[in-house]
Amino acid sequence: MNQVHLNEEQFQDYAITGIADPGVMQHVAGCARCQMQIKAYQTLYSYIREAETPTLDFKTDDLIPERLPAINKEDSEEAWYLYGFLFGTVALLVAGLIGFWGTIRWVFMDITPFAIIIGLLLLSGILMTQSLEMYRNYQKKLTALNRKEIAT
Amino acid sequence: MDGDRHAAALLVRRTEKLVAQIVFKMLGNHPDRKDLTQDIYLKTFRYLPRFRFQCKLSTWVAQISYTTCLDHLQKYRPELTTISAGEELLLSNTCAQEIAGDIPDASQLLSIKERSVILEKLSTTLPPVYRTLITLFHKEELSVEEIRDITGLPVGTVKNYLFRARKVLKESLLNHYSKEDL
Ligand SMILES: [Zn+2]
Repeated sequence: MNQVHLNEEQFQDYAITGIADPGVMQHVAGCARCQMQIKAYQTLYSYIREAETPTLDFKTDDLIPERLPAINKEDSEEAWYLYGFLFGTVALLVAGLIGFWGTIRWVFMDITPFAIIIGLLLLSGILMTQSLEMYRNYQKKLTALNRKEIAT
Repeated sequence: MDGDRHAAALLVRRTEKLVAQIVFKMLGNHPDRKDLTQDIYLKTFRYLPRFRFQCKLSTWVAQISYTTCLDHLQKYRPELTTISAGEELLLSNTCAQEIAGDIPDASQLLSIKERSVILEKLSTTLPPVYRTLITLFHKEELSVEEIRDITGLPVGTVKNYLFRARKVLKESLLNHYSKEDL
């Protein structure tokens, strides 16, 4: 028989897996001291596994904030950066147009009302797609709650 | 609006057990428990738009729970959160290994409630972080990598803490039974 006792790490691993090198297994089979240590770990693990799960002594509803959707939107920093950037760009363009109207007005002289309508339609289309995209992202996150990957 | 509340309630129901485990292991029977749990879910809903699906949603909620509890401990009970690298968790009694008798097979007959009480008693010597890690690994059956994601501790540290915590608990267990046998 292998005379060397198992070390602490080996006790812990053996108690979890129940497997070890043949030499180690042989030693354990004939060593009461090592057997006791392994049994102690196995008992410990079973105590932890079977321990009662603590339960929160208050209602689940208490944990859901009153202003749920507002909270979701107000703090989305990235979205605010994006909006800031878009707004800034539009503001700069408008300021540029007003400031240099005298020099660049000829560009707009030949645009027909039809082209203006098309332009406005395009712009609102882009804005709507953007908002829809944000809404879908938000829904996607909530749908994720139904996935199995969430610990039950 | 109702749909959101329904989804939120679902999120809470799916994660509350894990959150409860972390809160109880980190803080014990602390009077601020309810406030902290509310705080955890408040953060969860607030930061949900930033959740990027890099990990499971439950892991992410657990991560928020752990950091919230750790922040609270560091603020009010900092002595419970400091674990120095070479620190040995010593038992107040003599080395249990040498004096312990057999763990009575009768322990198998104890009810789950009785076992839980014994385990609770044995765990009192452990720092909150150790108690949490042990529960996440052995009770919630999370992997070391998942625990790393939740706690932000390196894998090596998680393994090291688990090793030390198990050793202390095992010695406490042997001690407990040897005393009962005397
Ligand atoms: Zn041995």
